[in-house]
Amino acid sequence: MATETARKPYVRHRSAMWWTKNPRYFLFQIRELSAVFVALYAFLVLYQLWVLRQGAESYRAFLDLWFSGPMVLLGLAILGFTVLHAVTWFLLTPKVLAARLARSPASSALVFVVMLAVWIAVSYVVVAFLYAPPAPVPPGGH
Amino acid sequence: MAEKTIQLRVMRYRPERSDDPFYQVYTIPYRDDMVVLDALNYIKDHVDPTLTYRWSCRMGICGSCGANIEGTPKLTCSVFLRDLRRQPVTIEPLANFPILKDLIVDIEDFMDKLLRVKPYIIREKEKPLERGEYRQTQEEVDMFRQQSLCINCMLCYSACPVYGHDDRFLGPAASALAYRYLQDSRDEGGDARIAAIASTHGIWQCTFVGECSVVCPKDVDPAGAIQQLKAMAATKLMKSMLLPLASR
Amino acid sequence: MGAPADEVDRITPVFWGLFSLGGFVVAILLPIFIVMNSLAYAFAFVSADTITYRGMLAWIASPITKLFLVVVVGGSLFHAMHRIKYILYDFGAARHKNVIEPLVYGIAVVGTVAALFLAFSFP
Repeated sequence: MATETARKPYVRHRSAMWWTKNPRYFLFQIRELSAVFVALYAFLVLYQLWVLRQGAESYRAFLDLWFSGPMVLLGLAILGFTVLHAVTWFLLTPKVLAARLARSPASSALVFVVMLAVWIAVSYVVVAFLYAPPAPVPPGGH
Repeated sequence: MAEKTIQLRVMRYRPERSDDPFYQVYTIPYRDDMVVLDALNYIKDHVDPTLTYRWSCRMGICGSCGANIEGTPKLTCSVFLRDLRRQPVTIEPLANFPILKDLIVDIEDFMDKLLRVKPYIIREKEKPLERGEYRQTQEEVDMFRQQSLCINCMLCYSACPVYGHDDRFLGPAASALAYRYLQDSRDEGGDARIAAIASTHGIWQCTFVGECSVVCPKDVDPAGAIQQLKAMAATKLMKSMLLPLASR
Repeated sequence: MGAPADEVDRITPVFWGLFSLGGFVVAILLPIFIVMNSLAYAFAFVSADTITYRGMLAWIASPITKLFLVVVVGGSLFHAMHRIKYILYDFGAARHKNVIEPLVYGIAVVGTVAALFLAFSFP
């Protein structure tokens, strides 16, 4: 009796604003966006090194730009995004290292704390050794 | 004494009637212990028998009753009405799947993907029956137990924005299933299975949004499983590139 | 509906590995580098000697510093370009992957090589 209903599947497309639908999607999008700022800083550093090669005059002019208000603000923004990357990265580390580490909140928290400690320790080492106050240059020395 | 009522706003789709889905609002009696599935059953039994939806066990184990409730993929049998803030409660078919009728979505793509990862123990040679069972220690079972709990409810596919954008993506449940077998000490099908998942539309499309693991009603953690698979596939590739003569 | 089997992807895993290593570099080394390189002087945490031309030349003289710069720039680029690739794919650019993949990974390679040349070009 009944004629077969023609199948007509209705496809709904993912909205372009999908990442606004919940806070975790939003955080994900910001996290991914951090990559743009990280790449930007890498390019800035390459530029910085290139200008350094051009000599004292060029570098002096560059420094005016590098420590200008807008650049410092940009630096702070890049730092903010980088720190966001670091925190989200450390939270995800247990899941990549080994599934069993991620299974319990305790071991996930431990991995996070360990990564944080490594972060602080390495940062300290960088400041203490890489940025140690320069030793007085002996006359004629290197 | 006035009975408490609740309003539900349900997405309907009747391909023979219209090209587009439409919403229908129902007002039904409310009891504190009702779950969304109870409400749907009440509607079907007393208000509108044409309302169509999937359900079975009503206790969160069969995986049939997935739907988008207030925009989040959930099992209708597991969501209490009293926990929902807004009224009317909006109920829609599982996101990222084509709608066939009312709350029923087309699950063929999902079924295909499950099969693609060869979800069965693969052995070069089966042990003869007389030799008895394949025995495993507790630790060996723990390696894949979590991912073996998947009930194929597809909430993870609805939560995944990558799958929502490109349905060629293998997706969370199928990947977790591949992981479940790769981690099973009885299985010897590692190479074939990794080849199945390490493709362009396999695990490499995943960007670790992680929402799949958030919505999973069985705590399978497909997101974690996929990251593990990435590490396994990358390591395997490195080994084969750097040590091409080493026999597997 | 049987879809044809996908080809095994041998490119992405390599860059995913570099992305992962880079992710640790960005997380652990980049923040302090940004502070020291771009902010410390502006907030008077370090003296002018650190950031002047001569100060920078003295700083970059050390091979450790040179290596540090290459690791930070290289790690940042291999990490960021992989993620940027997926951002572009999410906007629908995946059908151009034959152009996008060489482009993004090429930028990472070129940038790392540039860092190597620049850093080690200083005495």
